[in-house]
Amino acid sequence: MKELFESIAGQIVAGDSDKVVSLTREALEKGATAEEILNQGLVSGMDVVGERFAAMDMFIPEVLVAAMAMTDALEILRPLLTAAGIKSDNRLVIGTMEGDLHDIGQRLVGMIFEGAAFEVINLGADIKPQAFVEAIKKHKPNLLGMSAMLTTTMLKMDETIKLIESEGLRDTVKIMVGGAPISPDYAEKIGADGYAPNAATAVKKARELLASV
Amino acid sequence: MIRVNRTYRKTPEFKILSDDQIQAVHSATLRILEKTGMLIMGENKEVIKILEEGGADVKGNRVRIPPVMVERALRSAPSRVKLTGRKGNGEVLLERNVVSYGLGTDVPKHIDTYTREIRSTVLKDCENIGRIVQTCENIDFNSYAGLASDIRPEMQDLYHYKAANMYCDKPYFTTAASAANLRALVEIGTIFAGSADEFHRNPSFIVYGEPISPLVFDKEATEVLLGCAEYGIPVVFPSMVGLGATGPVTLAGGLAQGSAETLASLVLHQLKNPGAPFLWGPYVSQMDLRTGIFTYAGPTFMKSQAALGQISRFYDIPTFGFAGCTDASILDAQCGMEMFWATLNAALSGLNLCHDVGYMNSGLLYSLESLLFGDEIISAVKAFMEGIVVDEEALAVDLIDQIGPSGHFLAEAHTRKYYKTEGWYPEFSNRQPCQIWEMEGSLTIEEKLMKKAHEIIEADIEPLLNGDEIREIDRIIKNREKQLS
Repeated sequence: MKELFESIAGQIVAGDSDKVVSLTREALEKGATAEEILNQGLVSGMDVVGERFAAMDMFIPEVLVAAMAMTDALEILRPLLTAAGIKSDNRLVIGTMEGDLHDIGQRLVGMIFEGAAFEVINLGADIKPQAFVEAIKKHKPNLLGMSAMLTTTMLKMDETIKLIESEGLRDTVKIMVGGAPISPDYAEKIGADGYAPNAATAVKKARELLASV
Repeated sequence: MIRVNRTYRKTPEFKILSDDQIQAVHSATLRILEKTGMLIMGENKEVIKILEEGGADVKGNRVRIPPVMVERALRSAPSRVKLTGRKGNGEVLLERNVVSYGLGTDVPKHIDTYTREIRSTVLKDCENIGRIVQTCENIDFNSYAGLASDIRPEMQDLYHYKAANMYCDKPYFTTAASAANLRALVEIGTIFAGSADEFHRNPSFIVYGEPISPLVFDKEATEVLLGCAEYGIPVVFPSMVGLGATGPVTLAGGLAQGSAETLASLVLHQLKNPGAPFLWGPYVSQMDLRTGIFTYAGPTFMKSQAALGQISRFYDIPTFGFAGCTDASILDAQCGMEMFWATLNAALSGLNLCHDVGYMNSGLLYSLESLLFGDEIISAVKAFMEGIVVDEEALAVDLIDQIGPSGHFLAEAHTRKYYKTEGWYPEFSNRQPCQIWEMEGSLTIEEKLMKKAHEIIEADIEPLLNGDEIREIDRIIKNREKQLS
């Protein structure tokens, strides 16, 4: 079985979705649990991807293909994980602030989080503070990501966090912010939990934040 | 005797595309506009109405633009745009085969000239940048090259204007956060010009805005674009095509898409006010697919800039270019290579408004030293672009004969007459033998640049804005602040 898990991990790194899916099915048939496949196969493969990406040994399109392979396999595993009573994975709601249509960075971050086994709900660009609040109520994420490219739209982050507080939702979710004009100081000033300057470090930071919950 | 059949080449000539390749990119551009078109975001009824009445095919908020509209816009757009310094000092002529260099707009971080720390940009930096620009003889236009973190974002452009122009009166390149801020900037420009007509005839600033790649117009930016058309203020409206991210990974496709987005902006602009001044030229460069940054350097970007220079001449419309910029985070060998390459490339490619001199770390970082370094690089490029004078005087056959074998040329009148124009004398680059260089303290170029920067910003000089002008600007800023609160 160990070899099978290693093959799954290897195919994740290779970004071959078809093979990851068929190997996942094979592992289930041979009696592996969904949790074992997830942790020893898929996540272990994505860990390698993460390390190689951080070392600039893998490129974004390859990382995204690996992430998509992971997502495809997770579709098979998710109902089994839920049935086994395993606490659902991390869930990220992410969006770009109202008035800002620059969302290429945010989309990239969302896809990298999918690859890190987060369930990602991407609200898209031009998202009003109220829409973030509604998404928190609806999807109950444990992580919220907000992105801005402009100094003017960056201000909406402050407004959104205040609204989340006034709705009594602040303790339910960790909040991370990012984008070209954002600094760690600004993140701290508006009461966000974390800031990251790029997608790879965002995942690392998110895991730290969520581990402390 | 007569010497015949002599062709002179004054400057190096550089082309990356053939005429047929330019035509192919243009054809793809028209197909993109007709087949895919632009998405108009944010309840932007005015934009949709203008484009629909201009002949576009409108379905909901998707607007497809037929070639005839593009051709009409290209015909009505002027082939020459002129900027004049605030008090008539300095002129930037934006037309075929005239290359001007200057600064870029938004940069969130600044390398502190005293501590060398990377910190958030503050308003004082914009003022210091202006002081330096005023002394740089090769920098043709100024900008604020920062984002003052000590100013509320909705007001930054107006405060930047005051700070950047305090000690500098060269033509100015700016953004406008909204149509209302644009009105305030026009009010300020009008005060300096003396009248609205005079400001219209000789605008002292040019405005920057963007469509969003791929193929989106947002509300705020198009309001600024239409405002510029209405007031007749020159505007640059380039899209940001990151190859492989916000556009196809292939350079040809990226050029076609970027061109389409910028031409769609031109179509809208010319429909609002035919003949209003507009600069064409998208940013088309590689997204580094390891780090996710949009590169401001390297061969892909240089090829794209060269192609855009040629395409703009095909359109006969002035173009927006990049120069003196780098992805490096410090003034190091990478910085030198990239700043120089971009600056030379802009001249060889015949780009017109070449901005971003001194931009570091892909536009995230600025320093007074990279600005001064940029001035020296432009000086070298200018000397290079002068080409080689080949005439009897320069061939100097008689002089060589007169000096003869084993003589020297050091004290000749010919030498004294031409040494400055035939040679090039840098202010900062090292040309000392290493023994002397060591005796003088083994200074790096960065240390020399720092010393110069400190001299300039510490100089006890009078502001170029007088008390009345400062009061007028403050009044306009206060009014705008009141509207916002």
